[in-house]
Amino acid sequence: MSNSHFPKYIIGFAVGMVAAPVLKSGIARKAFTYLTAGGFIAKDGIMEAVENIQTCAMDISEDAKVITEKYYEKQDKKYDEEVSEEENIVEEEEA
Amino acid sequence: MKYTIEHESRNRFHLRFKKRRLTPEEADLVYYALAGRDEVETVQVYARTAQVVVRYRSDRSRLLGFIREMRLDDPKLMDLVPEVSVRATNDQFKEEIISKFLARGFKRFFLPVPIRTIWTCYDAAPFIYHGVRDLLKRNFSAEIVHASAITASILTGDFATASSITFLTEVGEILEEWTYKKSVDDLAQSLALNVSKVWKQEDGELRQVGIQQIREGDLIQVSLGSMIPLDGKVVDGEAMVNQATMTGESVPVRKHQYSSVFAGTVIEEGELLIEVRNVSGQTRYDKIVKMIEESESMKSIVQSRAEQVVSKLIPYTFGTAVLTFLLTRNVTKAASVLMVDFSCAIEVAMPISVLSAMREAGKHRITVKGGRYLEEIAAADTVVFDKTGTLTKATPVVVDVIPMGGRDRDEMLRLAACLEEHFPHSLANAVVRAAREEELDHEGEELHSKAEYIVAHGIVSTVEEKRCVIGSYHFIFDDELIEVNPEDQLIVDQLPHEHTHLYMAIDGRLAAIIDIADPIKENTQEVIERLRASGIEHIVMMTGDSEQTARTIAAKAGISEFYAEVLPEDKAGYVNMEKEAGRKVIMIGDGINDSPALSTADVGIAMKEGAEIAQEIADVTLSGSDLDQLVNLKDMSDSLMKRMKSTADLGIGFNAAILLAGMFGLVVPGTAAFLHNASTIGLCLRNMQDLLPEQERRSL
Repeated sequence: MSNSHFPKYIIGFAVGMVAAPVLKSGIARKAFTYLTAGGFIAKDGIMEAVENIQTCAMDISEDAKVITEKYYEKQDKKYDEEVSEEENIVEEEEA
Repeated sequence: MKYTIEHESRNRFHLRFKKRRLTPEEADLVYYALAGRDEVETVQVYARTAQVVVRYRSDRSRLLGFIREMRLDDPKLMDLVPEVSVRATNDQFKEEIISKFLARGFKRFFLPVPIRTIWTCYDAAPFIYHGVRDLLKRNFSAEIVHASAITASILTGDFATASSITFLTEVGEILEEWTYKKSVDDLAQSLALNVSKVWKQEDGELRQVGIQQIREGDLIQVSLGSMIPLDGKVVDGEAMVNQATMTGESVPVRKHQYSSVFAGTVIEEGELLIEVRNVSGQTRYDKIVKMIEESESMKSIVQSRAEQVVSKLIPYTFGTAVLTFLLTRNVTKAASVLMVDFSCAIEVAMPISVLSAMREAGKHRITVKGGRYLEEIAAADTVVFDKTGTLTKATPVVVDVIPMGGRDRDEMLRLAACLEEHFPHSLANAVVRAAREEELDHEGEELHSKAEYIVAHGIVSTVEEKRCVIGSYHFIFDDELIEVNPEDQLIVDQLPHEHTHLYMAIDGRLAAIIDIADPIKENTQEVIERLRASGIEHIVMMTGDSEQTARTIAAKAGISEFYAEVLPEDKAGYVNMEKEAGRKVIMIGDGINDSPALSTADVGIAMKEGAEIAQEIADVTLSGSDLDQLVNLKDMSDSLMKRMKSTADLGIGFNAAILLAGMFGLVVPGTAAFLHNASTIGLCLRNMQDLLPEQERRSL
């Protein structure tokens, strides 16, 4: 048995002797219950945050779509104006 | 309910209710109350944060007013919530997926390595167990490949890869189960009863009442072609009942006095007087779900064949891993090969594509009872149409009532309506509607004795001890040999050819002719052209109506081949003949007389407004009156087949590339496992997308 590991074995043995009765006690049971409840509350909190993020993201996406549509409308209008200018020039030249 | 508007854009608003959160029941109530409104396109309800996002078509202020007035304890709104909530199912699975990711993140970033290792082994245990079990049974399934990949990772000390494989496999399984459950629930709700009125017998008289008024012990009468709405016991009468929705058997069962009958089954012949035993819906719903899950038609033929092919590849995957090790003496390369599993894409992503297509069809109010029917529709080259209610509008209109022999016009219409109201046919409905509009109903009292319906012919009864018949020309003049007064013969000869006519005779003499306009649907010709363009080579119309009427309607619809004055067995015979000639036949109809042909065809499609027996027997039901749904169904089926092929090609091709890369040491096992599982999940997510492009969806 290595001397450097000896303290670890002693601590491990002591914990093992004490752990079982402590884990079975009422206080430990209460602690686990509150810990579990805390876990559920934390999970609910995360799920709520996910829902909020989801709805925000959808709103942002809708606004982005509106901006994109307006951008393309502007582009289409500009293109139509250029085409009609060119047609006018061609008609004038033909005339 | 009080709310604030969080965001608004064109045809969309996002509200937050003045409540901390909604319970699942409240969320369901809000969802179904809004989803059922005509002006609403889509609704999403977020229960935990009490938010709702609505996309609407029109009338924003009316919709917001409705939400403001909505009460969460309103019993009328509670009635709108079905037995199984699709919203709750979606929430449940979304939560499962998110919980899986959270657990993985927690495990990865917060747990010490030794505990992480133990957790990984704990997660891996079921996979290894199932793999070993299948190996011992000599069932070469994907479980064996998963188990060997995980075991190889654990034995080489690569717990991260083992954890990655179990995580991604579990996510894929959740996606598959989610899509499956949604499809089954949607289909079960479509098949579940939508009966609103029943015939109740009280003090020897029949009255039509709402189904909610029926209590246990009440007596209800169910006639030919109608669905039995509630569980009960037969008190009187005899009938042949189709119990396919309950038991799956398509052969009708004889029911007589003291027999038990079940809600959702359909009377094919006869009539029953039933004492109601059960007014609850849940047992019926559970039976429908069980029947769907056990039905072979849920799985597509292509999928079954593909599964057989890939299961044969599994031993070769093992062989390749062993060969790689023998040639390279490198465990890592051999383990990389084991990470590849060709069957995942087929066994997980393909069913998702089929079920997703069924779910998408349901979104467009098309009920598809199994994946293989979509395959049959894609392969179809022949469509046989019924005329009335299918090519023509589901709501024909009475144009004129011509009394004969000096009889009173209103009395003839009242009597005709009284006879016709018992039987499900669009022409019968037209007569009943016309009488109601003219306030000529008989207020629940029968003017005639018990009416007998002769399929595809007409109705026979007795009025004041005189034989009374109503039906087609063939039935009245050829079968019943009814005589016409010479002065009335000219009227008969000059009836408009494009209309349908019902002839009523009392005591052997023609008493009245009911002239019914049965116009074709506006887009019928366009639909026929689009069907031809999508690969349907042979389009036929078959009708029991007269030759002249059939010719006129066929010409308007653009159909060159038609058959008139056909009986139900003739329709079925024709469908059979086409099948024997090697064609794939779709039959579309809505009446009792279409049932034999619907049953014989490769795919039977019924219109929702038609007879319940037609909907029961059919493989697909179209809920709209618009034939556009038919074209979209064909497009969806064609797209589904392309998607299934690409799933198989991509799945096998990508995994083959990973396998080669692993053999040549280009990827380590962890990367190979990640790429394999990520590609499977990617295919699953792609296959959950809608098949029809946005523009086509909007036209529905």
